[in-house]
Amino acid sequence: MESASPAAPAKRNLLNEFTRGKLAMWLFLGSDAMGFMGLIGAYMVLRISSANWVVAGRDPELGITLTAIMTFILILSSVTMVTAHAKILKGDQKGLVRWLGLTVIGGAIFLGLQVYEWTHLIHIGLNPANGNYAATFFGLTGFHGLHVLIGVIYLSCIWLKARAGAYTATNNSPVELVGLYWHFVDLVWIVLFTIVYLIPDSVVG
Amino acid sequence: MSEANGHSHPYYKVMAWLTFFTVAEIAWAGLSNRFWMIFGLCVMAGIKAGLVGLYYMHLKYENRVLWIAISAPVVLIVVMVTGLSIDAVWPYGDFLHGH
Repeated sequence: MESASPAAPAKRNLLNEFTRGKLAMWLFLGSDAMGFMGLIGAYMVLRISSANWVVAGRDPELGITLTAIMTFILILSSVTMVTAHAKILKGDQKGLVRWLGLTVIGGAIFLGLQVYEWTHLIHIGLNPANGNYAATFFGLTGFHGLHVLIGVIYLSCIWLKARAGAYTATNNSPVELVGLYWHFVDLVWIVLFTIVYLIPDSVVG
Repeated sequence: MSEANGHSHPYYKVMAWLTFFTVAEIAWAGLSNRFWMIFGLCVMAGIKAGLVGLYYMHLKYENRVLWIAISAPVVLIVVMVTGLSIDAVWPYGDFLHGH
């Protein structure tokens, strides 16, 4: 007797649906998010429990216009990053180089504006030694700025490899990973922009 | 990767929403009612962060293994924020003593 039993459907292994690098990057981002939340949590506690968060006449107010422009630049650089990844998924290496280059430029402009903002604020009297207001401001935005700097260096390395034609439609995992990192930096800035810049001093503290 | 699976991505639409919410946040920050101002700003920041995570980081198209991996730090963050908020509002342990 012939036994032609149909093949059992293969069990779906969800772990095989993404690379180890991607899982590692997500775990790194999760731990990095906890690091940021440690700083943001300390900021919240200090600010809410402070009776006099900003000392009038000593501590300058933070400007919103410049940081709104910085926010927009970071949003734009996120779009250029996803576009770069979409290009290489279609095998467009020139498109990848172009859009990745624009992402690097966006990150560099953001950093330049942050240096300008810091210089200006220090010049008009915002001193980390003066108290928690300035210390937490420089701590939070500095930690984020360090991430942006690392991101720009990381993106530049990937851009150089992309120029050499290292990535194809089927081999582009490093582009995806740098994209995840860059979007995370954008996401953290969205939170910082709201908490540090938009909520005025009279509201809490 | 998700694009390879045939998903279409509304990258530019998401960018437009992110820009819209950024402008809306700046306008909303001038609201005189303090509670609603902070509430609105936090909601809008949450929406923006969600848009970046779901569409730019492609979480919308990822499988549940990745969601489980991410949920661990998120749960810890929620616990920490809750604890710190209690500590900030009742700094001398008044919360525990019912005052």
